[in-house]
Amino acid sequence: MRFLAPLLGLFGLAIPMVIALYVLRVRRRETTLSSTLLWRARVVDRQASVPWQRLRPSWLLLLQLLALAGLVVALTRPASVQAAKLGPDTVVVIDSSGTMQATDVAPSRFAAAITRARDLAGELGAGQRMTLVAMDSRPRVLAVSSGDHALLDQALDRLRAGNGVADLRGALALAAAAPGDARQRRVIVISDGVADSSGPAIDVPYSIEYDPVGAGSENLGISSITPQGGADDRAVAISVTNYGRSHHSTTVETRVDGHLVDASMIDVEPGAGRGLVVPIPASTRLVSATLSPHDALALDDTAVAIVRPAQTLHALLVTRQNLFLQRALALRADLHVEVVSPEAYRPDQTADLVVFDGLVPPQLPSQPFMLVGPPADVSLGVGAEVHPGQLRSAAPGDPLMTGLDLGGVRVAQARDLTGSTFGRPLIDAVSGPVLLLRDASPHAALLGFDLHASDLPLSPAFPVLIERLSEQLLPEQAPPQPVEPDSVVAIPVGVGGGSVQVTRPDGSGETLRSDAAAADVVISDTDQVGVYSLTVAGRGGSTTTSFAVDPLDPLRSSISPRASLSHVHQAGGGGPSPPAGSVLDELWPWLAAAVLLMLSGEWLVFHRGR
Amino acid sequence: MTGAGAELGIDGGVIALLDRLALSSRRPVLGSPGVRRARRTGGAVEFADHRAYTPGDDIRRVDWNAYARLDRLILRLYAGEEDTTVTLWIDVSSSMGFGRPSKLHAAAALAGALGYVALAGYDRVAVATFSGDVAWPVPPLRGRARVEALWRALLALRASGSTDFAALARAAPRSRPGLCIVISDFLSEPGPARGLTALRQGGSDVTLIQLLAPDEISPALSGDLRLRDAESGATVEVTVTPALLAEYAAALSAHQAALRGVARRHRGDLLTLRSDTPLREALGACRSHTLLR
Repeated sequence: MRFLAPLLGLFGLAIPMVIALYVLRVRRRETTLSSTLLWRARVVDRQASVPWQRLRPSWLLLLQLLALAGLVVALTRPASVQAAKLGPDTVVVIDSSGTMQATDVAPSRFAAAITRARDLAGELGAGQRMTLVAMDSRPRVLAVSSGDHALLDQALDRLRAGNGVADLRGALALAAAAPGDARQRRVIVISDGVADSSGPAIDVPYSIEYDPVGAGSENLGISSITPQGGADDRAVAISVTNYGRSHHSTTVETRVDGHLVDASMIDVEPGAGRGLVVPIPASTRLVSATLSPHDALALDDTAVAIVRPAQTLHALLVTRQNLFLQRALALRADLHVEVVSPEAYRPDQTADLVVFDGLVPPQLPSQPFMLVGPPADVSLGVGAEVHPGQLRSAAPGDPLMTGLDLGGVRVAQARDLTGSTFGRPLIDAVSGPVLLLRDASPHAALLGFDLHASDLPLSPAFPVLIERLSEQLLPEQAPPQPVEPDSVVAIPVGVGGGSVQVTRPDGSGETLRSDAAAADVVISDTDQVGVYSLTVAGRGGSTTTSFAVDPLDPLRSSISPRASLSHVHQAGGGGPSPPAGSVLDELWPWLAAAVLLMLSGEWLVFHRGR
Repeated sequence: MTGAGAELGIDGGVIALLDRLALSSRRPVLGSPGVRRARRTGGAVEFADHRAYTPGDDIRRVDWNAYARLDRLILRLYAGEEDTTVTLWIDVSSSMGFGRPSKLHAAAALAGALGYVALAGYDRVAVATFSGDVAWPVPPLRGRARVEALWRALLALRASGSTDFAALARAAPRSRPGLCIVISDFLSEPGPARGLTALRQGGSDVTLIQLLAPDEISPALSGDLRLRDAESGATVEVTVTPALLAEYAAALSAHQAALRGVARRHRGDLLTLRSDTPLREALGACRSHTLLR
């Protein structure tokens, strides 16, 4: 039983007022008669000289109190919670994404969702069928239009919560493809509403009911973990973000190859991030960070990064003087930075990466390169000077930008890259893109402003950005770090084919074979968090590499349950209607009828007494 | 027809009617010797006594010889003849001021008509008023010529005070035996029983005329009211509903039945009239009740 308008119960105060009307004496009009002799016998017990009188039993009073009480209860809109009646075809979409691991609902959001789905399946009657769809980063159908309770239960038993981000669009597409009449289809989404909302609004040709799961929003998560430094000053930069609405403290435990090397307590304000740099040995192969104690979502409390062995790469920095750039590049332990003036630069100089600061060479190098603050150049599409102002990420989902905090970073002057076809934008501003990345060979980046005209070099994001760019541009055997769960990873094995033995974080493994014509082998089964080891067998022998899967996506860590699926537009207009799975049967019409009966009785009693 | 008579509603037509009427008693009464033959058995006309002349007496009965000797007007009375004293007891309490016309006005008109009949029949007529006390605004009159004085006295009556039938009892001994007509609304307690007993013991024949205003017969009241008694000032609170009005009507009937019982125990009768009843109809009712013949 629920009361949908409990505050209207205050009208119950009218009940003592009605009683008071019977206790208080009536204000009477005075009339003078020749004699009251014949009236005296008609008066019973109404001669009190006080402004109240004894409350006497009265059917009228009883009926009026009952009617008033019924009216007050009806005003509060009592409703009984009843299971919704299922239609002939019901599709239940169960969110099994990473946020559903949150334990703000005991034992977890996922378990609660499974229970609700099981309850719905239990309501299936004769002729009614149900389709189950699991919604994580790769939605899939668990059971197709079945009325078999045992089969549906087994499908739910097999479902496990994943680590990815919910793909609502894909899940609803599967729901739309379910068998049966779409007009009679009832789609129930059991979710916390945390889903990938990028792209246009989702239009669905059927009605959707959204059954929200989840109660809390407090969560701390590791937003980035990046090894840095050279062979003699190795360190790991760890960022922790508070996605909740309250201030929190946590201890960041750093482990090197499984051994605890640091435990630092940090305070993180709501909505803000906090970073720390922990020195690690030069021989480190694997570094991990863990927040202790765990909070509602343990998934993002641990992150791991693979530390590559020190390998000296050669970077050529062509500049008159740019200490910001020089030092940021030098942070990579495996990168030797040689600085030359523009006049001393020769195109035939060998380097793994060439960085041009403030100039564009007459001939672009064939190796990876980076252009920083170039002058106007028609061939590159570098235009006139603009004033970008505040920077922002142009590719929020790109691993290069994950956890990169550009808040408050401003640029005074930059070159207009709006017309440039140099590459895809990574960072932009109101005036247009300011950082372009070319994925085609040779890999290259174009930063459209002089670092001295910006406060970017002073922000914590700068060294991370330069390191990620250099990792992206430099020849790399391992995939870029970090990799989000359920991402597709391409491992270069070389033309001619080969096999890759993949060992997952839980120890399970499989062997993948690449097409002879393809240079890469694709790994898509990356739902587990942790380190994936790969043994690549090629013509020249076998090599071993590894990559880490970390759940660093802020969307996953923002666990606050959404009140609605606002980016879904269903047939007939409007968003999904809450709640699903149950309906409220309002009782006020019955109460109103009872009140009407009581008032009729009161009328009869009154007129019989007249 | 005189001015006072007209104000009382006694016009020429009513007087013509009254001239054909006479008061009747239910039983023989003892009275002063007069022109009305007594109903008692008796002998021929015989001298019985003298008494002092009073205005209105038939001058033919003056004993001129005695006047010559005594230089006073003395009337000769004869045995076998009686003149009846008709005493009109009129309730002048405040409650009689209610009604439109007022009950007191209706009482005065009716008393004026009955008094005219009595005077025209050579009876004595006296008017006594009572509320808290008894007053005699009209001493015993005799003769048709005194009717104007009677009417003027009746017109001068004003309603005030509270009804007290005990006062009537106290004043009864001063009343001459004869016919006593008590005109009141009889809406007070204690009732008239004690006064009637005193009148009966004084040898009078008693007739009660109850005058009620239309609102007292069918009250035009509704809602929550505090009713104040015009005489006592006492209040009662009622919620007037149709059911209560029905109860009131039943109570009025019961009250009248009780009053009629009291009258009959005293060998009298009760005549109930509405205060707005035209005088001709009221006289007709009196004939129906054999008060007039």
